[in-house]
Amino acid sequence: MSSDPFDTLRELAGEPVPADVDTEYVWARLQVAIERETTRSRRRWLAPVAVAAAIAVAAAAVLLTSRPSPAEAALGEIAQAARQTTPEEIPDGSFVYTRTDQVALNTSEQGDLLGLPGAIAYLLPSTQQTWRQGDFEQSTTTVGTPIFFDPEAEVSYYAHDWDKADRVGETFTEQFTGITNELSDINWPANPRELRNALDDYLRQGTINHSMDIETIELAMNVLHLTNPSPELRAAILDVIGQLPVQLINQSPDGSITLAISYDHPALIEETFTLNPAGYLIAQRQTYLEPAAELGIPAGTTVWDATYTVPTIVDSLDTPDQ
Amino acid sequence: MRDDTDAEVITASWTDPSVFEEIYRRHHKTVLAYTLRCAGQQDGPDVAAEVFEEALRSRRSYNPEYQSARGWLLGIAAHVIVRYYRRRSKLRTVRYDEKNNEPDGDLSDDIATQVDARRIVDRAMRKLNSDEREVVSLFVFADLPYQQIADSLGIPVGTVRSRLNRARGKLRNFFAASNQYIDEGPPEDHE
Repeated sequence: MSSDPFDTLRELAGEPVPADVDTEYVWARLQVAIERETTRSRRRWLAPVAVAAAIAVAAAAVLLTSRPSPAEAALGEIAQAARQTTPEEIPDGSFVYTRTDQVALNTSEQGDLLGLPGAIAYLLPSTQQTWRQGDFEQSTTTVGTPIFFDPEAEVSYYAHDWDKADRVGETFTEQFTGITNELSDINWPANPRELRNALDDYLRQGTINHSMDIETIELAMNVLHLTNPSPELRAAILDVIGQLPVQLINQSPDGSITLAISYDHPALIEETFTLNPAGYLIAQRQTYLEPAAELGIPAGTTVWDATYTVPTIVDSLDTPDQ
Repeated sequence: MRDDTDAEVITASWTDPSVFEEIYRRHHKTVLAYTLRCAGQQDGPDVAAEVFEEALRSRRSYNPEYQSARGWLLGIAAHVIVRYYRRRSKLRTVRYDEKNNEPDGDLSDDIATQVDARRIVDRAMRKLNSDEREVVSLFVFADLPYQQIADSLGIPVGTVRSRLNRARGKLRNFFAASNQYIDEGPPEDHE
């Protein structure tokens, strides 16, 4: 490898050549976008009427939302509890340990490499334990046995050794230094109104795939889960989420709650988040509410199911007692 | 339309979005080459499609002083790439790359090698913050000079230089750590 890390990156990325199918795919997506944009332009003359209607709806919404929604009330209680907690000190030499158990959808358009007519999709279970200390990270990952939607795909997958590329059945440990987390680098305000603005500003730097509300919920959950926020910030995040269109779908006797959102991407997806009584994200799940025919995935399939442990402080790189 | 500048085409597309197809015809190879290098053979086309969708939506923000839309599109592409790596950080899914259909040779080894390379690129890019990823992706994967990166992202050239310097240091650490520390104990000094 080259001594200049930029050259190394160039070498690793190679010089991929776009296939005709790639070009056609991008062209087709643009055609759909142009059609949508054309329709939108035609509708623009209706804008004043739409604005008047929106004002009426907003006025009605103000009346309806003067009482907190069940989700807002439940999140408010957890936020209150989060505010009362003492900030966690991480002693020198200690590690923050987390464990994630997940089953995630893997897809590849390159089913033809396996002799299949279309794309291939399967669910891959894995467990990852992570120890972090400053910018150092060690992770130990165990990859389980994939679950297929199509028996033919399963046979081809193993026949072509894709299980080796996925490291199925393996447990491997990796260590990294210089780890950065862009969400942790941001000084998020602990005032809910300022936090909402900061989240919106951050989102506007990138592409917005869904509605702004859905994007904000996703980002807020990421800040909650990935940055180990202070008690005040944790509470503010929960307050912000409570103001957004999340639905409370379960409240357990132990005080944990499960919230749901839904969006199109490209099929209709329901995503749920489970928070414990202290405001930690402990589970996340995505379920297709519509079939994804091109991947052979039926409606009702859970395509991502993850559970997270609450971060704990440990003094070694050993697996702690559960 | 064929002889019009990009600026003229984009302005015409304000009222007739279908005119934007001409921008695609002129620049899709550049954008696809960039996104394939950044995101791999599987995700690259998706990212390129996002770039053109985003460009179409934001065509009114194009500065007509720039006759060519190449830098503008790559600037949008750099934002989309940052977004892409953010999604990957979250999902950590494994995807496969394809290097065209090659009938000869050991295909499984070839796939494994490419998957490994793609994983390393992904991990390396995730070590950078979003500002650094933008400039690094344009410098490394689009081969743009400093001034064009600055123009594409609307930042001073000095900022491009400093971000690249910072990123170079982080990537050097990353590659050193990848080579030396895997399956060994943690380095004594993490600074």
